[in-house]
Amino acid sequence: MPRIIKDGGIVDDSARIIEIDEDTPIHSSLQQSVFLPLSRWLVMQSGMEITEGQKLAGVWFDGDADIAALIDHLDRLPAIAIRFNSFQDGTGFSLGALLRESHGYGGELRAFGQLIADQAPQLRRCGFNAIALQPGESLETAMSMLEGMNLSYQGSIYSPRTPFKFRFSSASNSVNKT
Amino acid sequence: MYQYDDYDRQVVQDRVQQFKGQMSRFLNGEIAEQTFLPLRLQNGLYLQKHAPMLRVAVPYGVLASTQLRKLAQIAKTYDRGYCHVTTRQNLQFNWVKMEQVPEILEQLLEVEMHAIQTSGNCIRNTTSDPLAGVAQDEVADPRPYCEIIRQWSTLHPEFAFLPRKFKIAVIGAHEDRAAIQLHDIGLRLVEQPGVDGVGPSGVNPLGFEVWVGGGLGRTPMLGSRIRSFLPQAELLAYLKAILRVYNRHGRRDNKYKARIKILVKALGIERFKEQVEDEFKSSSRSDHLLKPDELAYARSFFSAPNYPLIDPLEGEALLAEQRQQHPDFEQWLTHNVHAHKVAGYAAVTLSLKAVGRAPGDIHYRQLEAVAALAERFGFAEVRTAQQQNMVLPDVKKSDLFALWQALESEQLATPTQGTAADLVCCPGADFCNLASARSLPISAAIQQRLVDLDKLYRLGELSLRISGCINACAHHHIADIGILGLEKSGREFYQITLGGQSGNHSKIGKVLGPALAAEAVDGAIDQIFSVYLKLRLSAQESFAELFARLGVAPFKEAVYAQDH
Ligand code: SF4
Repeated sequence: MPRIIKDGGIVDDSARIIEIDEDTPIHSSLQQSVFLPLSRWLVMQSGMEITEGQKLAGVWFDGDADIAALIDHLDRLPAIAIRFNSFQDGTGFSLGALLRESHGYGGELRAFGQLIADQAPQLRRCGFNAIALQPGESLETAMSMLEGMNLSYQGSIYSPRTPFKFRFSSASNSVNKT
Repeated sequence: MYQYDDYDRQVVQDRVQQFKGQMSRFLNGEIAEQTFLPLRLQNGLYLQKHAPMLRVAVPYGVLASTQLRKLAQIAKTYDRGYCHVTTRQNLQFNWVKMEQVPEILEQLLEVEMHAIQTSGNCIRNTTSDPLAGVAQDEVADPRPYCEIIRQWSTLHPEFAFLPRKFKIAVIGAHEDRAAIQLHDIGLRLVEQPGVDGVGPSGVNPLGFEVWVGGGLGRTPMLGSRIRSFLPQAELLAYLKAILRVYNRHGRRDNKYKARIKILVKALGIERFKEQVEDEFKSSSRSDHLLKPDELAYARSFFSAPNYPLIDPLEGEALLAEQRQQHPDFEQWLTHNVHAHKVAGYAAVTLSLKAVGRAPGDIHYRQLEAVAALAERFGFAEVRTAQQQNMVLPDVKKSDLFALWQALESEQLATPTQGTAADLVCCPGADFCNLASARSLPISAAIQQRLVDLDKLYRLGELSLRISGCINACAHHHIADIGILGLEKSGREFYQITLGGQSGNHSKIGKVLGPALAAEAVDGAIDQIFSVYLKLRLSAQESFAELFARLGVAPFKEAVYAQDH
């Protein structure tokens, strides 16, 4: 079973990404957690009655997707996955941060696609609590980087800070001001 | 100047360790070459023609004498004895060994320096006015804000993989000595206009005028004003909003269309502004605002030094005498010495444009000498300038003569600042892998034509800049005379642009005509000088003014006539 990093640990993960051109039927009671492409998810939402207890599908899209149509549904979404098409394409970092920061999204936020271990701390700080790396990348390396995460000037989406916050009051007594 | 606390040290130390790890994973094959590339670029490490190049950040151009000594030691131990001042106030070592880079980074950390984000598609070193804090025309000192931006932009998790590089400049003076309109974001400290215009100085709250979307390269553009007043508390929140809009909507399909200037142009400044303001409103929380205590703390590092009380008149009298006796000294005073906000003091340009040297290069012995001079004639601080020179910011006027003599013996007193011989030149094809053509031989040939100081001074203030390719690292577009290296079927050609300007009246230069072969360039430049001297209405008419009056035609005629 594929493994991902989730909420600070490495876990097995059976979630399936349904591709855009894939026409696998999706039943309203899902056995396995799946992520539907944004366009299909939006279509399904309009025709689907969801009763309590049923497992909802998550939705996935690329970092540069237009998510305006999704905003009203965010509180009903258990999981959102953002695909990175190249580890050098950082659009997804901003989209993830936006979902958490501007829209208060509180469900699972997953990053997947072409991602390398070294990006795990950045992803976490932008609000991604689930991270799937590209094939060949070591989750253990990524975990050790997350655990080694130390001080930063910005904090994270959960607890943002300005650079000198907490520092000036304690330091102003001892720092040599020249 | 700013001093690291344990927090800063830890942040840089962590990055050095991380980079060390990345390098060893690369060397043992765990990281592929193309994956390592952006990782090493984010740490300022390039692979150049002959050897790797390490670019070291000089935050907003401020260096302490201890840092200069360390840089000298690095130049001596790990390089060929010298380093190079860039047009973005940074320093480059052109001959380092890859395996030694982690070691160099550890050495740098000892003096609170690093190479973080000096390259790559991320937020680069924030640049500023080389006269920050001492300029006479300053509303407020930009350095505290530069430092806040330096920290905020360092290893920002959201902005490490932008569509393209991102440059921010901050000034606090009326005259723009940092070319803010040519930056992705340009910030100018201003007082909040009162109900009836600008209130009395020091009374109205400070904030920023914000410019966005400037840049050179293939499509040079001047920035547009997006805010005429941004309260200083909101600085970081607003920067974040601009960068988030850019990171989400900037183009990634074409490297030449990826800078923020293209996005601003495509949307138009009004729509771009709308998006930024929406983003700003929806994502800003009080946690993102700079608190008054925090701002005061940042400012405390840059409070004016205790200038010993001196009698300015005494210094003036002595100077007048020395000027008379030493015409060389007089020339240097006229060109390389600048007004200071404190009476009796001056700021001094240390010229890195000695004839026969590559512009901006400095030898380790000179670095050591500058360190000693900064301690003897100032407060142990030096600045780097975008014009590839250095500046001693706080020299007593009564010390100028002694300083001049010392600089003369170090070849740092070439009295040409602001003239055509103060030319700015990138390393070009002699070092740079991206180059289309060599720039250094062109610069040397032009320098040779300007060794006669009388001729040079007759030309007056005139800027000349040479870039070895369209990346425009020497900012040739904003020079009175710009030269751009091109390559056509394996041969080097040079395109000349005229009429560019930087500062408050920034303008992009106009192409003179077809590109010239290397051997024809210095002659053509000489023709341009002659046309200017011949046609100007008086010695007071600057090159820019004449160009505004007559345009490209008379120059074109002169340069291309000799071809036929
Ligand atoms: S302008 Fe071109 S040749 Fe010159 S340093 Fe920049 S990239 Fe290299």
